[in-house]
Amino acid sequence: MNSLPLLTIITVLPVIGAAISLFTGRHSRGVAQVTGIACLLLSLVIWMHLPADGSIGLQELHQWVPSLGVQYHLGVDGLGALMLILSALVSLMSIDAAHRVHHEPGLFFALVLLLEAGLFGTFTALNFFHWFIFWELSLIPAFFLIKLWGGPKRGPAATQFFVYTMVGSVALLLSFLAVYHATGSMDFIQLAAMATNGTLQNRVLASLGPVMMWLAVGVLAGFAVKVPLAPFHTWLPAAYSEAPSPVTMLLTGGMSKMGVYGLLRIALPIFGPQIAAIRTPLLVLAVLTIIMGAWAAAAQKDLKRIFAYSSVNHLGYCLLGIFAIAVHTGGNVSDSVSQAAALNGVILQMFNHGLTAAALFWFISMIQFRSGGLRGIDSFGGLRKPAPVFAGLMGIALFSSLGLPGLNGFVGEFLIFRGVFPLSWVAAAVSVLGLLVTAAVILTVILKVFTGPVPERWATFPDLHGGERLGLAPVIGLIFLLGLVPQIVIERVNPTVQYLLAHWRF
Amino acid sequence: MSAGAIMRHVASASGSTPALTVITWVGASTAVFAALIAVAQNDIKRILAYSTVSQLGYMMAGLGVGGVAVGMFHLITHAFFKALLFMGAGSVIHGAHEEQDIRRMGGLSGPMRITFVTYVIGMLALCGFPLFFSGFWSKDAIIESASEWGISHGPFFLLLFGALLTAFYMTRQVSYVFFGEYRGHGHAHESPRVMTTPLAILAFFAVALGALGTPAWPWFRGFIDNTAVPFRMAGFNEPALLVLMLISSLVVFAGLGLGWWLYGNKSPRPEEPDALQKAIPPVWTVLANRLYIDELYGATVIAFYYWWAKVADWIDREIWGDMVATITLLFQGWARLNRFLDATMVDGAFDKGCEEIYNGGGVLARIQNGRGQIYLRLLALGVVILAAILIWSGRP
Repeated sequence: MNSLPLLTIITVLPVIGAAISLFTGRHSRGVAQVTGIACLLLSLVIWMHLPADGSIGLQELHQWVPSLGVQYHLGVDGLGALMLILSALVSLMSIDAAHRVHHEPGLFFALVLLLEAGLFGTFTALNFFHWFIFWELSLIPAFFLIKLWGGPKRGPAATQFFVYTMVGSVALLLSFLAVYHATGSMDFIQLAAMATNGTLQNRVLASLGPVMMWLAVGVLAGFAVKVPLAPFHTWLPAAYSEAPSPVTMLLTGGMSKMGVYGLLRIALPIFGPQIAAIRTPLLVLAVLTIIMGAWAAAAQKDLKRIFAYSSVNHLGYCLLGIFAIAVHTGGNVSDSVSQAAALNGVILQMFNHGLTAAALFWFISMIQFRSGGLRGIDSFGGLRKPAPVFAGLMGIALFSSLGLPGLNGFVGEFLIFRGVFPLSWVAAAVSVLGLLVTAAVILTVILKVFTGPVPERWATFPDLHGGERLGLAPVIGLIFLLGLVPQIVIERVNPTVQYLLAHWRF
Repeated sequence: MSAGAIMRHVASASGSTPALTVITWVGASTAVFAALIAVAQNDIKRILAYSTVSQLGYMMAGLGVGGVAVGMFHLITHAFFKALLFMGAGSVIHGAHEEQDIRRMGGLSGPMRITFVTYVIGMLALCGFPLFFSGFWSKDAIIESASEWGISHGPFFLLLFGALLTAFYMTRQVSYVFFGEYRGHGHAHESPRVMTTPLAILAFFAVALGALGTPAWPWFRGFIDNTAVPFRMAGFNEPALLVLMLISSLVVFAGLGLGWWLYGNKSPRPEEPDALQKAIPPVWTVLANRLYIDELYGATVIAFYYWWAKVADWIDREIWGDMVATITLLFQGWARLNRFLDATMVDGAFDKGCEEIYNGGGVLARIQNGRGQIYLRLLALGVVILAAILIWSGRP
């Protein structure tokens, strides 16, 4: 099995699916579904074949452009493999949710599958050149999906999304060109090793002068826009609310994780000491992301905008955990335990937020379809009575987003706070407010949409039909499963966490 | 009962004096605070709910001044007699045809005999009626510890005042519900056995549990501290203890008496103002509005929440959004400038050059009009000119 290039196969598979679906028109959704299921199964196979010590496994290494240090280098550890599963899962959910695309369905599903391929490529590449191609490539299908199938203000939203992310990417590219100029390497693992033993800093200093901090800032800027970190988040509410809901699911479930993944795979290992040096301002920004995201969500009236800001808030916890980890502990055991808890929490939160947020936008798309496009919270009321199953299942997803113990959303957030509190108690204490406000926001949504008197126009609001229940059941099941038995993920993520922390230097 | 988990936490976390001091003060003030509110409520379950908050205050204070054994003992006894009272309230509500307003009850001691007897047992246990009720022993242990507390006597007096209030509001409630004439709708009736049997069982414990915590045989304290406790009557042989028991008994009697004096057997009409309201209107107003705590939260925490949400949204749109818009405008301006430069300077020069070439081309093009004679004439002209040049240049 290990002789098969599984990571290449999983990246090529959606590309082939995209090519087929371009020419199958009405049947393209079926093609996309089959491709999506195949990718999900393959990602689970990859998950089962991870090395037990948490290091990067399933590596594929070929020369590509040797004169430029460009190699075809793939590999995943617990973090990468979990992101593969998440991408495959969210893509499949998105394809399931997009059953009412009448305008050029072939192109739509081809772009969705290309985006999936972009995600797979980003989460498996270990050479900057190769990685950057996929990082940029995933933008293009996303841009066209928003631009061609989006809401009334899709044009500006798509352009802002594209340009904003490009600006971040350019900063990232410049930094890596400088690093390549100084070291002659583009390989993440090599560069991380050089950063650990100090050669990277010395070579950059020798060939470019004292610019290491600027390089770190450039790399951070690229990821900060993608995640996003406040105040670089303003593209997000517009893009999330103008994109068609299945695409919003991909944006929040998959693409937002690219930024967090990049911080963990690239920024922390290569620029650890620099990030540790500016840890306090970064923590301030992370706390700001959490607090302002939660409160800005409270001010919104549009369901999609509420959960767009709520996504900012939830990813803020990931950033909080990441920046809190970036501190030199000097071998202090209890601090190392806290770092491990926070990092486990960050990785779980990435997965759980992806799953829950994608489910929420799926439900919103159903509400929109049933109400003829409405999605203001004040337009509804009492939907619990005409559509009890709908209200119940969406309620579970909402409570998962709120962080109710027993559902998946709780586990990651709890571990992050468990880890961050000893490392930076002020940041943790202020951020807890975000949990409180998010709870208030989500309960307000439940109150306004599902309870109270039923307006006459919604007296016959249709409940979930068989097909929708069938599609949602596994998602809701997973929400419970990961909430009650998070060990099934932690047992494979924790070795990677230990491995990473043992190799990072701050 | 939910207090149990918190108390175990506090007990294991504390040990330091400042923490216990805070716990004591918070507990004692909660005991009085909630009891005050309970005085002026008319919903039978709401009175019991505020009473529960008040008793949780006693437990916290007990924890602070006397340790785990003292706090936990009141927690256990309270669990039984408060469960009894809430179930009794349920029986009353059921018997009075789903009425929860105590002003629309009255005289239920007749038709609801079992509920009445058990409810009064629970009420006396809650008030801390001397000697025969568990609440007396558990609350007395707290008050005794508070009197010996080295830091301040404040909590001791607060807890005594709370005991007075407890006896008062429970007497008020029982008078309204069980005495006087029935003022509700229909005919009240006793609840079925399935409801009254649990009441009787709980009433038994509301009395009997006291035996586990008397000064003569403080079994519960021994259980918590994991020591064997012998029975010895000499436990009562402390003058200070006896004085305290007397004081707290007198306080309870005062509360019961005051309540009965104001409310006993009066059967006021439902729309009539409360007896206390007639006596001291401003106090009643404040208490009936629950000391305006809900309004305070509304004006502070809730108002802040909505205000800050607006601010966050505003910052997002006006500050960050405008910043992005400004940068966009700058880039657009730069692009316009470039276009202008291209169009006027670079393109202008290029166009000028092209124009000249074109104009020049036009003159030449006019000659090439395809007429043989013109070509021949030009040819001849050329030959003549060349010949002239040759002759001219060949001249010596």
